[in-house]
Amino acid sequence: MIRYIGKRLLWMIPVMLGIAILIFSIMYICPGDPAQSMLGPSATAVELAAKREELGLNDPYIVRLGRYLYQTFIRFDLGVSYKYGTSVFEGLMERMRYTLVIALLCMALQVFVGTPLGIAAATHHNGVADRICMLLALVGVSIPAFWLALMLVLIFAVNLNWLPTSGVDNGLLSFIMPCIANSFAGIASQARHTRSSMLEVIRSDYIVTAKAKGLSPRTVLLRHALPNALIPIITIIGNGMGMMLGGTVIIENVFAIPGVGRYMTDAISSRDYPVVMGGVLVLGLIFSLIMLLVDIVYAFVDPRIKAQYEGRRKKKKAPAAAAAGKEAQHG
Amino acid sequence: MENKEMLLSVRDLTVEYTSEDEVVHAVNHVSFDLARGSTIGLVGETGAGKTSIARAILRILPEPPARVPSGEIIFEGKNLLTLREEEMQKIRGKEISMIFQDPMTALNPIMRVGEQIAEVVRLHEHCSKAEGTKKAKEMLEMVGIPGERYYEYPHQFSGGMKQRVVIAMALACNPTLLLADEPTTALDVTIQAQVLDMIRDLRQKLGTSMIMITHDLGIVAEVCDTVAVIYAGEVVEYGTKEQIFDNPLFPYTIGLFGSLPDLTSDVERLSPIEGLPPDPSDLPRGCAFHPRCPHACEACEKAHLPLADVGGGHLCRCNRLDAIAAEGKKKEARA
Amino acid sequence: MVKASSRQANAGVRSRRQGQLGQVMHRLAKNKLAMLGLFVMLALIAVALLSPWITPYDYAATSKADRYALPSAQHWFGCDGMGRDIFSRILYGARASLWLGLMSTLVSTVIGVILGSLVGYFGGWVDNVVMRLLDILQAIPGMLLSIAISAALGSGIGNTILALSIGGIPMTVRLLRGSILTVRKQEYIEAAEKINCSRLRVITSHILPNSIAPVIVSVTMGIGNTILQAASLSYIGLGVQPPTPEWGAMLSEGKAMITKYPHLCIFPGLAIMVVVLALNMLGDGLRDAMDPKLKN
Repeated sequence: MIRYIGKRLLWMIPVMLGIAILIFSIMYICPGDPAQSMLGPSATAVELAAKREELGLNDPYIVRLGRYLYQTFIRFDLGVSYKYGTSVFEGLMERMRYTLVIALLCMALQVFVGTPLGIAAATHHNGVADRICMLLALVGVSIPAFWLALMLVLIFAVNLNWLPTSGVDNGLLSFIMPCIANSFAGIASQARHTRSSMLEVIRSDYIVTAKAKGLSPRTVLLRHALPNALIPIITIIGNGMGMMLGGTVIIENVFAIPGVGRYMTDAISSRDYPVVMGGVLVLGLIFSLIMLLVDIVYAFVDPRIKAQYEGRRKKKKAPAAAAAGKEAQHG
Repeated sequence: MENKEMLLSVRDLTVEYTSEDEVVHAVNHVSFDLARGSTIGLVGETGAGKTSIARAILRILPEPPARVPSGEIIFEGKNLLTLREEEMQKIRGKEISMIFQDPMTALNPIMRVGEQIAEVVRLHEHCSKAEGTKKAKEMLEMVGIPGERYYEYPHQFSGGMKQRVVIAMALACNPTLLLADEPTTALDVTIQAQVLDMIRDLRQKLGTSMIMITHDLGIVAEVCDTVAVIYAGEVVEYGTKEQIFDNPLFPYTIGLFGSLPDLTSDVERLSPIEGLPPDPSDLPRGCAFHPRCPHACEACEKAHLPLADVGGGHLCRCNRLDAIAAEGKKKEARA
Repeated sequence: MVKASSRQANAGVRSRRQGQLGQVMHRLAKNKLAMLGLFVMLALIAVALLSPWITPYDYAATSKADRYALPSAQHWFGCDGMGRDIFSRILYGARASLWLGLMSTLVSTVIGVILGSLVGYFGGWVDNVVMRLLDILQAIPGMLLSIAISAALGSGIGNTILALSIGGIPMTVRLLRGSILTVRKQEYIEAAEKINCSRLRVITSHILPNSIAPVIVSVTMGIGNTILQAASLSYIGLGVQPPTPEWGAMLSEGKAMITKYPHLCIFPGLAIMVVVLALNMLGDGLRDAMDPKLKN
């Protein structure tokens, strides 16, 4: 297991390199001139040329890429923001807490609201509760998050005046609407996945075995069905985290929250490349770490997968089920 | 045959599965008795409704779509079909337990095998955690698995070993009645014999009665006292093992024996039963077997006969018995 | 003998495929929600195609008198800050949204299916290289990737389609690869290989038809998701930009005045929701129809 984690951590180095090259290339073909946006429209041609030379924008692609990779991966320096002249890393860290608070709160909502809803729906399969849950979930995954955010603002901030429209000055209150808007689709999709996973597990032979033992329906559900049903859900949670991190970019814009997402969208419009690249790298790193965590948790709860990671230290063979399980976690 | 007390009486049991636009008649008015300490074999092809009978006894049919519109299952004087669910839970695993057909899927993949055995012990014997664990280890030893494998997971066991675990689980609370649903079908031939021997030994040791569901007449010969031949969800022939094996009467039963390789006689080819089992959502009128029966006549297509006693409690559901017997005699004479 | 048996296998695949398709359609037709979704989708496609002729007003016609007009009998959904009829703009906007959703999903599916069948069929180093490259792509949250690419390529429908489709490729590849790995082991594939079917033929006429089902379902759901993403992009000022009538862009224009004139934002958002909802209902129905054992 430790070896597996080590291998995965090592593998993250080429992935990060890949992300850096990818995002650098994307930014390279970006239209617009950072020098122009830094100096403003009144700058003279001479000033612009000097600025471009200073930023190294005149060098060929491969030189700039090499310089960027050297700076990022050897000196661990994400560079300086063109716009603010401050360290990108510090700029990101300063804003990261807002983004992380939102993303984590959203995850919590997704897991702790979505899962019980899914279980309730599955246990009342085809009943009224099931139908209501699933209809809500269907609507939930179909609502644009930013529109939901606008509607929440309209109702709770403008009309009822219960919650602040934007900003982060009101403590936890400021995060209520952003989190609801950002996690609504996540909750709905978690409920849908939990339900279908539960329904599939409930049909398994080992559930019949458990019933045949004389266990109460409740025990069968909680001790045998739920743990098995939750295994594939873990992957959904990991993917959900990616959605939440991406979603915060939009939500931070709606609610004017000074997080990483807003920092990055501002940077995109002002051609502040170091910020965009640094932001993508850092968010990519966080996301990769979360996916690794998901895989570890996965192995922890499913002995079949664990056996696979532990390799051939023990000579017992892992059945095809383990392979299938591993496949499923990528799906 | 000595007059033993009846442990289980199934009367007129019917099981249906309703899907969107059809009703599948899986079990049709099945009746049989099981004496305490003895074994009955339910013999028939795949899909004949044998498993549904067993599941109906334990009341673990998937409802819906399954439904039991009629019948009685009298177990130790109680009708299981009318018991409250809570009372039924006390019977399941404690007084009646079941061995399933496919050991590969019958165990919870993410629970230690020992825990799965200990769970049923703790539930029914109301004992401490440690006692449950101890009993589970004993049960593992009893089915020939080292006790220290208690802490392993199902994927670490082979198919035969898993079936031993399932058997240990079924016998853990010393049940009065064991339902064995094709317990060896999913296993290798060599393992089959081992598992079968083990079931027989344990049963003798514990005095458990058993319903053995199988399509394998060899297994019936080895373990059963009484036999009910099931075709299309109904009992077509019923009698002691000797009655059925020495004097099979119903054409389907005769066909079953005909499709067995026989080492004592010198036959070139086996004689299989022609045709396919009927579609249980659209059963033929009259005798359910008549489309495949070599002796069928017009009457067979119309009349659906009740089981009739042909002597000594040997029941059969055929109106061509005389004709078949005559034909048999002719053949013998020719030979 | 080998030839005969594989021809049989072949015929088996064919007839089962057609039989399956018929069964799937039959089950789908019975699902009321899915049929509602299909109906709404077809209606929307018709509206999108016919929009130049059926809109009550020109989507670009401004009118000073009608600035911020509230919904009324003349202007069902009211008018925006330039006095343009919102109802007409929404009808016209169906073009951009549907086109974006369908084309982006089509592009990512075509690329994903080609890559997926290659890696699934050949395995080995092809599999390793492609999957590792996709690891990189997938390590960036999808929305973020679309934003970056969209910023790099600039606005416009074509560029937005490209930006949206790249993020969807890894999932399609993964899904198809997993499904192919299961199908590959089946005996009829071996049979086809034994009679010297070309690899292309094995992939296109034996493997793909038997492993594409999960992809079809995910594509249907994917269109809805892509429409949501496209709207988000337009909302933050990337992707399709005004004056092109696009629902996300309309929301973006209207948000500044949302407190005073909420109708500017309510209707475009509802339009997005209706499309995505219809697609999801259809997708759900397809999934149930293709895998009926999941339903009960």
